[in-house]
Amino acid sequence: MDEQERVALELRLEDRLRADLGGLPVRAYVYYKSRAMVRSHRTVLQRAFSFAGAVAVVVAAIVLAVAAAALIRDIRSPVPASAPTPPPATRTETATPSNLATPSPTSTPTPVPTPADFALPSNCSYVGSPSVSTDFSRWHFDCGTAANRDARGTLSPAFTAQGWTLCGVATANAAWSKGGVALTVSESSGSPGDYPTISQSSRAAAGCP
Amino acid sequence: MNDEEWNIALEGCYARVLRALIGVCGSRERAEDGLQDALVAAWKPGVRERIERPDAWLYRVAARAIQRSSWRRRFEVSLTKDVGASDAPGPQRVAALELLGKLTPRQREFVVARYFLGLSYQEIADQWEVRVSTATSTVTQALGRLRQDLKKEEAGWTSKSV
Repeated sequence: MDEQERVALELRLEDRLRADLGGLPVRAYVYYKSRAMVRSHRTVLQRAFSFAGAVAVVVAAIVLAVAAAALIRDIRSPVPASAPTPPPATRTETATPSNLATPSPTSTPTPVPTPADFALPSNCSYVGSPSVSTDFSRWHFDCGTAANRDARGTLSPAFTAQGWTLCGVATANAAWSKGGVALTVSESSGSPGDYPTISQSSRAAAGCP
Repeated sequence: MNDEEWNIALEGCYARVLRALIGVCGSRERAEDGLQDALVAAWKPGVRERIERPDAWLYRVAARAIQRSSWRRRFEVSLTKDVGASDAPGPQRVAALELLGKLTPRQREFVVARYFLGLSYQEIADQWEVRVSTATSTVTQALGRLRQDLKKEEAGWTSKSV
């Protein structure tokens, strides 16, 4: 096969192939870029939502943890003796007896009365809101389970040390006086949630009742 | 070649490559299957970036896929035997396919690549990873086989009607 013949054959073959194969009907190319883009967008959305979901879960967990910690703290933390729990909103400040101790103005925004001229021992603290009225006030206190069984005996050294005089001991009560003010210590019933009390009567302005 | 360039190139060469593959295997369905296999291979990460001529690459990969799947034809033949009807006019009646049917698979691939897709011998050698002399001699042998038929056709004689 010489060069001229080869060229002629090549041209002939090329024409034949282009004429026959080039005329074959074929399906058009399916342009699936759009699907790829949809997948891509979907993937981006999925990632965004998964990230947002993870952030939401973390935030929710933190909020729950903080709330649980605050709740546990409220339940377990002892009430400081110098800062009893603020009284309920129904209490009127104008009804405070004049012979109750005046709280420090810097301690809390709402002054909470405490028994006049008497401080609880360091192992005791006030519990809950005091009952304060025009002629009678009462505080619950907690010195621990064992000490609460003998509240009068527990507070007796503190009263004596602070210059109070024992007026007398009655059934589950002990009365102390100092400077015309009388305080009565009452034992608790012993049931769970019940605490011994200190009572003060504004009428008892003449010492022992 | 990024995705945008790849899609543009594919739009331009898809039909041409598919027709070339029909010339190689003689079946539109097998050609489409092979080309789809090649497209899937091209979408693997890092493949498209290395492709310089999408038509040549797709043609070579698809032709290889068609050859690998040639065992399936046994089942196709056994199924078509039961049809009992004559074949509809299709690519099998094209004269070029009759010519190409006289060549070996490798010769068909090279001849179609050279004279239909317009690849140079160097590009054929690069794609099939053979020497240029091998590509040239394979095409020359193919031309020798088709010599008589092409001469008859040139003289206005065709063995079978199209």
